[in-house]
Amino acid sequence: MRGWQHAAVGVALCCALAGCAKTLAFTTATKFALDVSQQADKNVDVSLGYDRAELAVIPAPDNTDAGDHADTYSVLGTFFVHYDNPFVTSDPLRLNQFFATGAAARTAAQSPRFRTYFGHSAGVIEDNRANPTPTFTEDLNKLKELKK
Amino acid sequence: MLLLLASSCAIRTTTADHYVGPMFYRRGTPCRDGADVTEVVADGWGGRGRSRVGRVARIIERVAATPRDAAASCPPGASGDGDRRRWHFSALYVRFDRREPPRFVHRSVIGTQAVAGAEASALSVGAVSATILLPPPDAYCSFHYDASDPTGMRFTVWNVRGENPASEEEILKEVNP
Repeated sequence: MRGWQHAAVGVALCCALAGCAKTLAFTTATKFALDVSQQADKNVDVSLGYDRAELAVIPAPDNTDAGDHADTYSVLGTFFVHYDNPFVTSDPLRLNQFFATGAAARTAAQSPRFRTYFGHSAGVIEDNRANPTPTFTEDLNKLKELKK
Repeated sequence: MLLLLASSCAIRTTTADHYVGPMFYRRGTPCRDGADVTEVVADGWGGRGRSRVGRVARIIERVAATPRDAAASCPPGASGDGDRRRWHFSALYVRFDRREPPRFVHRSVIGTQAVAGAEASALSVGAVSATILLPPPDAYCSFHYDASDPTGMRFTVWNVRGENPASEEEILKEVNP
Protein backbone atom coordinates (compact mmCIF):
# COMPACT_ATOMS: atom_id res chain seq x y z
CA MET A 1 0.00 0.00 0.00
CA ARG A 2 1.38 3.41 -0.89
CA GLY A 3 2.27 6.07 1.61
CA TRP A 4 -0.66 8.37 0.99
CA GLN A 5 -3.03 5.46 1.44
CA HIS A 6 -1.41 4.64 4.77
CA ALA A 7 -1.78 8.25 5.79
CA ALA A 8 -5.41 8.30 4.72
CA VAL A 9 -6.13 5.16 6.70
CA GLY A 10 -4.38 6.62 9.71
CA VAL A 11 -6.19 9.92 9.51
CA ALA A 12 -9.48 8.09 9.12
CA LEU A 13 -8.66 5.98 12.15
CA CYS A 14 -7.60 8.98 14.16
CA CYS A 15 -10.71 10.88 13.22
CA ALA A 16 -12.85 7.90 14.06
CA LEU A 17 -11.21 7.46 17.43
CA ALA A 18 -10.61 11.04 18.43
CA GLY A 19 -13.34 12.88 16.61
CA CYS A 20 -10.71 15.05 14.89
CA ALA A 21 -10.34 17.15 18.00
CA LYS A 22 -7.53 19.67 17.86
CA THR A 23 -5.18 17.64 19.96
CA LEU A 24 -1.97 15.76 19.46
CA ALA A 25 -2.66 12.09 18.72
CA PHE A 26 -0.68 8.95 18.00
CA THR A 27 -2.41 5.92 16.60
CA THR A 28 -1.68 2.40 15.46
CA ALA A 29 -4.05 0.02 13.75
CA THR A 30 -4.09 -3.47 12.31
CA LYS A 31 -7.12 -4.73 10.45
CA PHE A 32 -8.08 -7.94 8.76
CA ALA A 33 -11.68 -7.16 8.26
CA LEU A 34 -14.43 -5.39 6.48
CA ASP A 35 -14.39 -2.10 8.30
CA VAL A 36 -16.58 0.93 7.85
CA SER A 37 -15.60 4.02 9.83
CA GLN A 38 -17.18 7.41 9.72
CA GLN A 39 -14.92 10.40 9.95
CA ALA A 40 -15.68 13.62 11.72
CA ASP A 41 -16.17 15.34 8.36
CA LYS A 42 -18.91 12.78 7.62
CA ASN A 43 -16.91 10.95 4.98
CA VAL A 44 -17.12 7.19 5.27
CA ASP A 45 -13.94 5.14 5.02
CA VAL A 46 -14.33 1.54 3.91
CA SER A 47 -11.54 -1.02 3.99
CA LEU A 48 -11.61 -4.70 3.10
CA GLY A 49 -8.77 -7.13 3.80
CA TYR A 50 -5.48 -6.50 5.57
CA ASP A 51 -4.39 -3.02 6.53
CA ARG A 52 -1.94 -1.55 9.01
CA ALA A 53 -0.94 1.97 9.96
CA GLU A 54 1.03 3.98 12.49
CA LEU A 55 0.47 7.68 12.51
CA ALA A 56 1.13 10.85 14.45
CA VAL A 57 -1.25 13.77 14.06
CA ILE A 58 -0.20 17.25 15.13
CA PRO A 59 -2.93 19.91 15.08
CA ALA A 60 -2.45 23.06 13.07
CA PRO A 61 -4.60 26.19 13.05
CA ASP A 62 -6.44 27.00 9.85
CA ASN A 63 -4.81 29.44 7.44
CA THR A 64 -1.89 30.13 9.75
CA ASP A 65 1.73 29.55 8.87
CA ALA A 66 4.51 29.05 11.37
CA GLY A 67 6.77 32.05 11.71
CA ASP A 68 9.81 33.17 13.66
CA HIS A 69 7.78 33.69 16.80
CA ALA A 70 4.73 31.52 16.18
CA ASP A 71 4.96 27.78 15.97
CA THR A 72 2.16 25.51 14.83
CA TYR A 73 2.44 23.22 17.82
CA SER A 74 5.67 22.46 19.66
CA VAL A 75 6.37 18.76 20.16
CA LEU A 76 9.50 16.88 21.11
CA GLY A 77 9.18 13.15 21.36
CA THR A 78 10.59 9.69 21.03
CA PHE A 79 8.31 7.00 19.68
CA PHE A 80 9.03 3.26 19.80
CA VAL A 81 6.52 0.72 18.51
CA HIS A 82 6.91 -3.03 18.38
CA TYR A 83 3.99 -4.52 16.52
CA ASP A 84 3.21 -8.14 15.76
CA ASN A 85 0.07 -10.01 14.84
CA PRO A 86 -2.15 -9.06 17.80
CA PHE A 87 -4.30 -12.18 17.53
CA VAL A 88 -1.68 -14.95 17.53
CA THR A 89 1.51 -13.73 19.19
CA SER A 90 2.43 -13.43 22.86
CA ASP A 91 4.13 -10.08 22.24
CA PRO A 92 1.56 -8.22 20.17
CA LEU A 93 2.25 -4.60 20.96
CA ARG A 94 4.78 -2.58 22.88
CA LEU A 95 4.82 1.19 23.00
CA ASN A 96 7.51 3.27 24.64
CA GLN A 97 7.07 6.97 24.20
CA PHE A 98 8.18 10.20 25.72
CA PHE A 99 6.69 13.51 24.69
CA ALA A 100 7.10 17.11 25.60
CA THR A 101 4.24 19.19 24.25
CA GLY A 102 3.55 22.90 24.01
CA ALA A 103 5.31 24.95 26.67
CA ALA A 104 7.11 21.83 27.95
CA ALA A 105 8.58 21.24 24.50
CA ARG A 106 9.80 24.81 24.27
CA THR A 107 11.39 24.48 27.71
CA ALA A 108 12.97 21.14 26.86
CA ALA A 109 14.39 22.53 23.65
CA GLN A 110 16.43 25.00 25.71
CA SER A 111 17.56 22.44 28.27
CA PRO A 112 21.00 20.91 27.68
CA ARG A 113 20.00 17.64 29.32
CA PHE A 114 16.85 17.21 27.28
CA ARG A 115 18.68 18.27 24.14
CA THR A 116 21.27 15.60 24.85
CA TYR A 117 18.57 13.02 25.51
CA PHE A 118 16.59 13.74 22.37
CA GLY A 119 19.74 14.08 20.31
CA HIS A 120 21.01 10.73 21.51
CA SER A 121 17.60 9.13 20.92
CA ALA A 122 17.62 10.44 17.38
CA GLY A 123 21.07 8.92 16.95
CA VAL A 124 19.80 5.54 18.16
CA ILE A 125 16.94 5.72 15.67
CA GLU A 126 19.34 6.60 12.89
CA ASP A 127 21.60 3.71 13.87
CA ASN A 128 18.65 1.35 13.73
CA ARG A 129 17.74 2.63 10.32
CA ALA A 130 21.24 2.00 9.02
CA ASN A 131 21.63 -1.30 10.85
CA PRO A 132 18.25 -2.79 11.81
CA THR A 133 19.69 -5.68 13.84
CA PRO A 134 20.00 -4.04 17.30
CA THR A 135 17.19 -4.97 19.62
CA PHE A 136 15.17 -2.64 21.73
CA THR A 137 16.99 -3.87 24.82
CA GLU A 138 20.27 -2.78 23.33
CA ASP A 139 18.74 0.60 22.58
CA LEU A 140 17.62 0.92 26.17
CA ASN A 141 21.11 0.08 27.36
CA LYS A 142 22.49 2.85 25.18
CA LEU A 143 20.08 5.30 26.70
CA LYS A 144 20.96 4.13 30.20
CA GLU A 145 24.60 4.76 29.45
CA LEU A 146 23.59 8.29 28.56
CA LYS A 147 22.16 8.76 32.03
CA LYS A 148 25.48 7.85 33.60
CA MET B 1 -33.76 -14.36 23.54
CA LEU B 2 -31.12 -16.21 25.52
CA LEU B 3 -28.52 -15.17 23.00
CA LEU B 4 -29.46 -11.54 23.42
CA LEU B 5 -29.24 -11.86 27.18
CA ALA B 6 -25.72 -13.27 26.82
CA SER B 7 -24.54 -10.19 24.93
CA SER B 8 -22.86 -7.25 26.54
CA CYS B 9 -22.73 -3.59 25.71
CA ALA B 10 -21.04 -0.48 27.04
CA ILE B 11 -22.11 3.10 27.58
CA ARG B 12 -19.34 5.59 28.17
CA THR B 13 -19.41 9.09 29.55
CA THR B 14 -16.47 11.42 30.15
CA THR B 15 -15.92 10.15 33.68
CA ALA B 16 -17.49 6.69 33.77
CA ASP B 17 -17.88 3.51 31.77
CA HIS B 18 -21.03 1.45 32.21
CA TYR B 19 -21.01 -2.17 31.13
CA VAL B 20 -24.17 -4.22 30.90
CA GLY B 21 -23.96 -7.95 30.40
CA PRO B 22 -21.39 -10.63 31.14
CA MET B 23 -17.77 -9.59 31.01
CA PHE B 24 -14.37 -10.09 32.55
CA TYR B 25 -12.37 -7.16 33.79
CA ARG B 26 -9.36 -6.15 35.81
CA ARG B 27 -8.16 -2.78 36.94
CA GLY B 28 -4.86 -1.22 37.92
CA THR B 29 -4.66 1.41 40.63
CA PRO B 30 -3.40 4.93 39.99
CA CYS B 31 -0.52 4.86 42.44
CA ARG B 32 2.97 3.49 42.51
CA ASP B 33 4.45 3.87 39.08
CA GLY B 34 1.35 2.97 37.12
CA ALA B 35 -1.66 4.62 35.61
CA ASP B 36 -5.38 4.21 36.14
CA VAL B 37 -5.93 1.25 33.81
CA THR B 38 -9.03 -0.75 33.04
CA GLU B 39 -9.00 -3.86 30.88
CA VAL B 40 -12.29 -5.37 29.80
CA VAL B 41 -12.90 -8.54 27.83
CA ALA B 42 -16.43 -9.21 26.71
CA ASP B 43 -17.85 -11.81 24.41
CA GLY B 44 -21.36 -12.59 23.40
CA TRP B 45 -23.82 -13.39 20.75
CA GLY B 46 -25.96 -11.05 18.78
CA GLY B 47 -28.66 -11.31 16.18
CA ARG B 48 -32.21 -12.52 16.16
CA GLY B 49 -31.95 -16.10 15.04
CA ARG B 50 -31.13 -18.03 11.91
CA SER B 51 -34.12 -16.88 9.97
CA ARG B 52 -33.30 -13.20 10.11
CA VAL B 53 -29.87 -11.63 10.47
CA GLY B 54 -28.02 -14.71 11.64
CA ARG B 55 -25.84 -15.34 14.62
CA VAL B 56 -22.60 -13.56 15.14
CA ALA B 57 -20.00 -13.98 17.86
CA ARG B 58 -17.45 -11.51 19.04
CA ILE B 59 -14.66 -10.98 21.50
CA ILE B 60 -13.75 -7.43 22.44
CA GLU B 61 -10.79 -6.42 24.53
CA ARG B 62 -10.49 -2.79 25.54
CA VAL B 63 -7.76 -1.20 27.60
CA ALA B 64 -8.27 2.39 28.70
CA ALA B 65 -5.94 4.43 30.85
CA THR B 66 -5.64 7.86 32.37
CA PRO B 67 -2.15 9.00 33.29
CA ARG B 68 -0.75 9.39 36.74
CA ASP B 69 -0.16 13.03 37.60
CA ALA B 70 3.39 13.11 38.92
CA ALA B 71 2.56 16.10 41.13
CA ALA B 72 -0.46 14.47 42.76
CA SER B 73 -0.13 12.52 45.95
CA CYS B 74 -1.22 8.94 46.26
CA PRO B 75 -4.75 8.73 47.73
CA PRO B 76 -5.14 6.91 51.05
CA GLY B 77 -5.88 3.24 50.69
CA ALA B 78 -4.39 2.88 47.26
CA SER B 79 -2.61 -0.41 47.19
CA GLY B 80 -0.34 -0.04 44.24
CA ASP B 81 -0.44 -3.10 42.04
CA GLY B 82 -2.25 -5.30 44.56
CA ASP B 83 -4.53 -7.35 42.31
CA ARG B 84 -4.12 -5.69 38.98
CA ARG B 85 -3.48 -9.02 37.28
CA ARG B 86 -6.51 -10.72 38.82
CA TRP B 87 -9.55 -11.11 36.61
CA HIS B 88 -13.04 -10.44 37.90
CA PHE B 89 -16.36 -11.43 36.40
CA SER B 90 -19.48 -9.32 36.16
CA ALA B 91 -22.66 -11.03 35.07
CA LEU B 92 -25.01 -8.07 34.83
CA TYR B 93 -23.60 -4.60 35.38
CA VAL B 94 -20.40 -2.89 36.38
CA ARG B 95 -19.32 0.73 36.38
CA PHE B 96 -15.82 2.17 36.23
CA ASP B 97 -15.37 5.75 37.38
CA ARG B 98 -12.42 7.81 36.32
CA ARG B 99 -11.39 11.36 37.07
CA GLU B 100 -11.01 12.33 33.40
CA PRO B 101 -11.52 10.78 29.96
CA PRO B 102 -8.88 8.18 29.09
CA ARG B 103 -5.85 9.41 27.19
CA PHE B 104 -4.93 5.94 26.01
CA VAL B 105 -7.28 3.38 24.47
CA HIS B 106 -6.41 0.05 22.91
CA ARG B 107 -9.20 -1.99 21.33
CA SER B 108 -9.00 -5.46 19.83
CA VAL B 109 -12.09 -6.97 18.28
CA ILE B 110 -12.65 -10.34 16.70
CA GLY B 111 -16.07 -10.70 15.17
CA THR B 112 -18.45 -7.86 14.70
CA GLN B 113 -18.64 -4.49 16.37
CA ALA B 114 -20.82 -1.47 16.06
CA VAL B 115 -19.44 1.55 17.88
CA ALA B 116 -20.63 5.13 17.92
CA GLY B 117 -19.27 7.95 20.01
CA ALA B 118 -16.28 10.13 20.68
CA GLU B 119 -13.93 7.19 20.97
CA ALA B 120 -14.92 5.49 17.75
CA SER B 121 -17.55 5.42 15.07
CA ALA B 122 -17.17 2.21 13.20
CA LEU B 123 -18.81 -0.95 11.98
CA SER B 124 -16.50 -3.87 11.33
CA VAL B 125 -16.56 -7.58 10.64
CA GLY B 126 -13.31 -9.44 11.14
CA ALA B 127 -10.28 -8.69 13.29
CA VAL B 128 -9.44 -5.10 14.17
CA SER B 129 -6.84 -3.84 16.64
CA ALA B 130 -6.43 -0.12 17.16
CA THR B 131 -4.60 2.12 19.60
CA ILE B 132 -4.77 5.82 20.25
CA LEU B 133 -2.69 7.94 22.61
CA LEU B 134 -3.55 11.57 23.32
CA PRO B 135 -0.70 13.32 25.16
CA PRO B 136 -1.87 16.29 27.23
CA PRO B 137 -0.91 19.81 26.18
CA ASP B 138 1.91 21.72 27.86
CA ALA B 139 3.29 18.69 29.64
CA TYR B 140 5.92 16.02 29.67
CA CYS B 141 4.43 12.58 29.09
CA SER B 142 6.14 9.24 29.62
CA PHE B 143 4.35 6.15 28.36
CA HIS B 144 5.33 2.48 28.51
CA TYR B 145 2.79 -0.10 27.39
CA ASP B 146 3.12 -3.83 26.87
CA ALA B 147 0.00 -5.55 25.57
CA SER B 148 1.02 -8.76 27.31
CA ASP B 149 0.67 -6.94 30.67
CA PRO B 150 -1.78 -4.10 30.03
CA THR B 151 -2.54 -3.20 33.62
CA GLY B 152 1.15 -2.87 34.35
CA MET B 153 1.58 0.08 32.03
CA ARG B 154 3.41 3.18 33.20
CA PHE B 155 1.80 6.41 32.08
CA THR B 156 2.99 9.57 33.82
CA VAL B 157 2.42 13.23 33.12
CA TRP B 158 4.29 16.26 34.42
CA ASN B 159 2.39 19.47 33.78
CA VAL B 160 4.55 22.54 33.38
CA ARG B 161 1.69 24.80 34.42
CA GLY B 162 1.69 23.39 37.93
CA GLU B 163 3.05 25.19 40.96
CA ASN B 164 5.79 22.65 41.56
CA PRO B 165 7.34 21.72 38.24
CA ALA B 166 9.24 18.45 38.26
CA SER B 167 12.98 18.39 37.98
CA GLU B 168 14.59 17.25 34.76
CA GLU B 169 16.32 14.49 36.68
CA GLU B 170 13.01 13.11 37.93
CA ILE B 171 11.52 13.11 34.46
CA LEU B 172 14.51 11.47 32.80
CA LYS B 173 14.59 8.87 35.56
CA GLU B 174 11.03 7.85 34.67
CA VAL B 175 11.75 7.89 30.96
CA ASN B 176 14.74 5.59 31.38
CA PRO B 177 13.83 3.42 34.37
